[in-house]
Amino acid sequence: MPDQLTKSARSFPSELASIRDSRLFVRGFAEGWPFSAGRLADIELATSELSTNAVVHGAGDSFYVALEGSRLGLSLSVTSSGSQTFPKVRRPQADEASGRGLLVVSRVGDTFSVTQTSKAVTVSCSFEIIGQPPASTPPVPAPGSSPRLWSTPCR
Amino acid sequence: MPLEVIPPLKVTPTEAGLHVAGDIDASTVNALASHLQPLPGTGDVELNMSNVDFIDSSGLQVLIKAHQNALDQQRRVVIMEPSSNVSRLLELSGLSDVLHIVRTGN
Repeated sequence: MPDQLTKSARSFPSELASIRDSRLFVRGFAEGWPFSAGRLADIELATSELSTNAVVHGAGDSFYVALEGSRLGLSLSVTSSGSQTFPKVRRPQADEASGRGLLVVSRVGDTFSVTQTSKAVTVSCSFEIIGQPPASTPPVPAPGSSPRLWSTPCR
Repeated sequence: MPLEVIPPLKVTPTEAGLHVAGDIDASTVNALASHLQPLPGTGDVELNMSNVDFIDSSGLQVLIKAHQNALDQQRRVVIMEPSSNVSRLLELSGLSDVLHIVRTGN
């Protein structure tokens, strides 16, 4: 697991097929961190919900997925254009769908936030790594000691 | 050998209802909805979801609608052997006690 902050980001065209593509992108990144299979599935779920909202409710041709990972965990942000606040008032059914999606994200992530400017909306969530993070550097043998094998730290 | 295009979601009618396999999200949900509107058959509709690799709230929405339609007809939609993804979403949405779910422990 990398010791420093690792970032990755991609924009996706605002179309339904991008929802799955964004899941694959995020999954590929998240697999570099010591999450359980269940937690990786949660991260995929959050991605899908946020991307769906961006495609269905965002303005513009594309939406943006940003990832940051460190030994503390992973954060996921999805940004879409538009000044509409969640939930929208005019279309109740659409509101319910996006509201339900955000509810899932707020429950599955360890943190949840919505940031809105006049031009864009960013919804973020994070997934903490619980427990002792593995050592990132192997132990250094004392000078003069016999050479020995040390195991690579497990993820 | 010709390339085979595998659709992300496969819905197969069964004697008791439907077998649903693959990913259920906003891009595939219409395929599932079309098999549930109207509800197939006349009695309980069994949805085998053991091979659902992914589901999000778009998919859940279709299940909720089918559940409500069934109630209107004094029938039930029963989720059979939900995969871990399905169970997780039902648990997160608080619907584990609302929708009919059958798990036969093997």
